[in-house]
Amino acid sequence: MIPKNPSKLSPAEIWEARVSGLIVVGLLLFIFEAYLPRPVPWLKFGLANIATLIALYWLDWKAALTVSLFRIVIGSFFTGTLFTPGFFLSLSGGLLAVLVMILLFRLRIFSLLTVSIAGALAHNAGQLWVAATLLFRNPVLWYLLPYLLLTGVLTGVVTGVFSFWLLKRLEGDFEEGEK
Amino acid sequence: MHTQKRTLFRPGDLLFWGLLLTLGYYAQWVSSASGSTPAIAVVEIAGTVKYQIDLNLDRIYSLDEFDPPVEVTVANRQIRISRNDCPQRICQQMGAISRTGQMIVCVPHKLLIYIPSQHDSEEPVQVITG
Repeated sequence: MIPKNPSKLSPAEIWEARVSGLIVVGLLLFIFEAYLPRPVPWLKFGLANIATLIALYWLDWKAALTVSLFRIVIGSFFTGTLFTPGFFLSLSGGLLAVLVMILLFRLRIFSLLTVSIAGALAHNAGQLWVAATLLFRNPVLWYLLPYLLLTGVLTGVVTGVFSFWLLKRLEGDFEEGEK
Repeated sequence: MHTQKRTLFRPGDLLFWGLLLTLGYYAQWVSSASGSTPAIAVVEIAGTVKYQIDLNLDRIYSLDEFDPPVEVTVANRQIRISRNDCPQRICQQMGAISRTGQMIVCVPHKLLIYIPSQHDSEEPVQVITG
C-alpha cells in the first residue's frame, strides 16, 4: 500500500511525481521489450502502454497524454530513432492510441480491458495510416489491416490484464474518480 | 466526484466487440482478393515504383539506391530481403513472400516490396528480368 501523502506534498507535486515515475516505468518497459524475442518480427506487445493506462485510471487524462508523449520522445532518443521514419510511426500510433483511450475512458461505458484493446488497435491503425498515406504513399499497405486488428486485440488483452492487476495493487480496494 | 467500479467487463463492451467484428469481417473481405498465383513483385522506394521483378527467375538483385546496397533474393517463386543494413532487420526476419497481397516493409529505408493483385495496377506491367 502506498502512503497517501507521506511528506505533506501539494496535490500538484504528487501528480508530477507520479507522472515522472510512470514515464520512467514506460521507458523501462519500452527498452525491456526491445530485448524480448518476438514470435512474429513485427509484433510488439506495447508493454509501455501499461504506464499510459495506469496514468489514465490512477491519475487523469493529462497524465496519460504526458506519459505517452514523453515516453515516445525519450524512448526514441535512447534507441537512436529520434526523427527517423520509425519515430513518426511511433508518434502517430502512440498519439492516436492515447486519444482513443481517453475518449473511451470518459464515455464511462467501457471496461479497462476494452479501453486497452481499443488503444492497441488505434496504435496499429495510426501507424498504418501514416505508413500508407505519408511514408510509403501506397494503399496496398491496408492489406495488413486484418493482421494488425488481430495483433491489436492480442496485445490489448495482455496490456489490459497487466494494468488491471497493477491498478488493483496500487490502490488496494480501488474506485476510479473522474477529475 | 463521480465514481465507477472498475471491472474487466461492462455492458458497453458489447457495442465495441460488435463494431470490431464488423470491421474485422470487412477487412478480411477487402483483403480476400489476395492469394492467387503471382508473376511479379513490385519494389517501391519512398512511394515510387523502382522495379518490377519477375518471380519466375531465380536470382539475386542488388538495390544500389542504398549504401550499402540492399540485397533481394528470388527463389522458387518467392521473394525476400536477404541482406539489409537497417538497425533492427525486421524486413529480413519477415522472410519470403509468395502470394498476392503479401508485402515486406522496411521502415528505415522506406522500402516496400509487395506482390500486386490484378486490381492494384491498371497499367501494363513492365517486368525487369535481367
